[in-house]
Amino acid sequence: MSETPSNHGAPTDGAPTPFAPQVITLSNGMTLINVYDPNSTAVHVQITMRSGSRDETRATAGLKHFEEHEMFDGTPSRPTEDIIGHDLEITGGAANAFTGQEMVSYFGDAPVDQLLPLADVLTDMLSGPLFEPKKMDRERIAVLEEEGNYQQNRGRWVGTALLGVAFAGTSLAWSPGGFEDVITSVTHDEMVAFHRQAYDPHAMALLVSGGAYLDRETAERLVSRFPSGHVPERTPPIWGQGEKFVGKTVAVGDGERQQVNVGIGIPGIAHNDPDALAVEVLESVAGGGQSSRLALLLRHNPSLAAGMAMGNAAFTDTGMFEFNLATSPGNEERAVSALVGELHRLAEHPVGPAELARAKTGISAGLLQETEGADALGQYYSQRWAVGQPLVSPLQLADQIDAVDAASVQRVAKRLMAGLGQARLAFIHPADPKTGLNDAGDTLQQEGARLLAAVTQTRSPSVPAAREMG
Amino acid sequence: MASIMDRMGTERESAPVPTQLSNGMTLIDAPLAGSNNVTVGLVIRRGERDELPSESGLSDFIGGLFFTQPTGGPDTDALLAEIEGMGASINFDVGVETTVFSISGRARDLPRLTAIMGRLATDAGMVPDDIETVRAEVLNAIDRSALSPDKWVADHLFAAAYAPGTAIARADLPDRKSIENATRDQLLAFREQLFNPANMAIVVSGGASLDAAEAQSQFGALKSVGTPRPRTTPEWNMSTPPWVGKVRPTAAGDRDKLNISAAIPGLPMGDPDKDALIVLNDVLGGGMSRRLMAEVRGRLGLAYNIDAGPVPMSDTGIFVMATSTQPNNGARALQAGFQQLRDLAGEGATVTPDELLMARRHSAFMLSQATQTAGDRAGYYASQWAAGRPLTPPAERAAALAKVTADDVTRVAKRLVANLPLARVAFVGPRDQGRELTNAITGAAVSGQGAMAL
Repeated sequence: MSETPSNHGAPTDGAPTPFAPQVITLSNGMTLINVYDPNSTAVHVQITMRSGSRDETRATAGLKHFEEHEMFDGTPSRPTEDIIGHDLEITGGAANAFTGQEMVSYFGDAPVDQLLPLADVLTDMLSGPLFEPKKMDRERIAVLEEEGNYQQNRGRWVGTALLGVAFAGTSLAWSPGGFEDVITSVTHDEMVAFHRQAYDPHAMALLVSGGAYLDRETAERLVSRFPSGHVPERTPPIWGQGEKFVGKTVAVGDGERQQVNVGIGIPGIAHNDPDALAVEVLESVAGGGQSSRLALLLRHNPSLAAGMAMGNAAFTDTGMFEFNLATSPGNEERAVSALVGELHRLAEHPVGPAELARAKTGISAGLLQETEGADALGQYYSQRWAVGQPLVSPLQLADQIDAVDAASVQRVAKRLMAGLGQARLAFIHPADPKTGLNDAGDTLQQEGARLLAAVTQTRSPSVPAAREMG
Repeated sequence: MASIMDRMGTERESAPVPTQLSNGMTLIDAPLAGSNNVTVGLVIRRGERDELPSESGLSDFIGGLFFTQPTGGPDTDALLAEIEGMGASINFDVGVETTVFSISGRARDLPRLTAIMGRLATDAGMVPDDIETVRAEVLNAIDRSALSPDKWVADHLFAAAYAPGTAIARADLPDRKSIENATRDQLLAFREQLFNPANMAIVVSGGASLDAAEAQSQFGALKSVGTPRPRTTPEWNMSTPPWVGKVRPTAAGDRDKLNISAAIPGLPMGDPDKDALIVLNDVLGGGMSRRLMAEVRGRLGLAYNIDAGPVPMSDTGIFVMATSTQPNNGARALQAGFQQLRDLAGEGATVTPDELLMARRHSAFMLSQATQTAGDRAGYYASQWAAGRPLTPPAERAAALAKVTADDVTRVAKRLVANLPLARVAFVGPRDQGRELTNAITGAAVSGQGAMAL
């Protein structure tokens, strides 16, 4: 892929230079980003808002996600979901959306000659959703069903519960799905008002990537009916105000082996922290492939756990560094100790040159492979814009990653270690009559306390270090 | 339509021409100009349905052992470090009828990647420590699948659909005991019959090419041993009850959920109606506005999602519909879902010109999206070769889809609807609902339920 340097956000006009993001500020304050690939047969359109569930209040928690569903249900010019769906899908493409803690995104992919029809429907959806009451009732059900699906996924439950306990008492603790009482009671009028207030063009970007691009005039026309709301100032995150852990028991079904799932969170690294790239390299050293430290640990100690991972969940102004594992009951303290021990080792000893090079190469190669298509490239740039990161190309980012040295990795490991005393924990334990664990009893509390002690009492790795691979 | 078709037609490749190596192995070299990456895949036309009962799960075991220490070579840790030091990644996939090993990396590293694949293909290795590590990994994977309701219903669909005791009914359900008890000698013998070059192809796609001489040099040492066992003819499950299910209580604080996967006899890969089936499936479930989602979620509000799709194999096929709902709504969701199929067969609104246009365009675009990277393209040609079909560039496949007519869609829908009485179901939920779920598809009475309560 030949690339030219990006303009790092400087406003320009005219035809975009292939592969260099062209950034234009529209008259309503919205940002237009073109990432043109003349060889692509596809086009990706993505509308992103730099505001998500953490910018909601308790009374509105979940409405951005609910609105995400409602956006596909009708507008004044396309009054039913059938018409919206038809107009999106007659392009030959497809559209979708997601809501996160810090961003909401609507996007679609289509053959390259379908840019305008695709962009027209997506921008129309956001310009004036109808919030028709009967459709709202139906989507309330779909939203609650979606949440129910997530509850079945053990890893997802642990991740959501961990964020909840780590940032308890703040909006960052809420799932983007919000609260059932909010979803079931919100009215048409409240949704209309919410939409007008929540969608602020100054906090929104319209991105086009692939084999076509939008000029300023066309983009201005497409977004001319967008609401002009105001995104409130984000409240600073506060770590660990509530309980130190949360757990639940799950019955063991026929043919199932008992398994404990544990998630441990400590204060992590924000997106725009100077150590943001160093923590990515640390993640890669720890668990970035089949030759990473955790892969080696499990390969040589297969009875330790069924799976282990560690990684940084970054937000704009904070982060949570997570440890995750699945193991058999009775084994969890040893597994926690081994997992956290790997962070100790990274803090105590600099990463060797071969291991560091392999970790960085792994990130770069993955980045370049993962951003090959118009859709992946569009998601990459939209994500960076949403969290306020410079719009560097994947190749430029790979160069930045290559500049991370062993001292930086060790420094960030030490920073993370300093937060171990503030660890928070979420876990799922089998409801086993032998151990007596149940939701109402003290034993669930005791399990949580034991696991937390295993985190804070780990001083040095309990298993030998993986050898340095040349 | 013309635009995407034209662009796909002017793409960077024509159909690759397979080359036969001296040992009977096939080389498929499919360059992808402009790509900086390359994928080398080793494809075997054997899978889980080719295992004997005593071998159940050994394909997975061999899959896990492929990227481990070869005889006299670097140990597994060093081997994986060498691969990942190049920024390359490895993968293996054991399917019902095929087994695939692949390595993906930078195009400039193709010679090294090929040499690694060649060595691992021609040398079984199987260091005792690696065997034990992989044994634990395979057992862990079985345990993980059992804990996921979605995975459980998917894994048990073949067991519900095909006659008990047949090889194909065991697909996706590796047996713990055969994994636990497999010895090194058994694994070596199994691998030897699996790695028969007459059943194997090397597929290379991306920004570099592999010539036949180099392929011969790297893979030529692989030799045939004996004649492969013939594949047994699949038989549909005619025993009762026509479902498999797992009843598990809902965790405190969670919503009740019923996960369902249902199958009816479908079409094999080479069926003349295969393109019509792809378009039919797109009409049913190709997007939010299509019939399944419009009816089951949009009009009835019974589920967040409902999917359908064909699973074609060399000599058989199934047509699958899957959803997860509140338990009281499961039968209605299935009934409504399969009614969409009945409608397309002529019982209700058959496919409209607009639906047909949308489905053809979408099928063609999805094909172009799914074949745009080196790894995607290698997988595309690997699938065609494994199915014994001519190697056809994506543009030609898209052109065939564009020719599907409304009559074709109706005809294939009728063929599927004729099989509805043979519906089989796999489910996980808080109570046994096998009978009502099966009846919902076959047409027996289903008690009316309102939409789920909030």
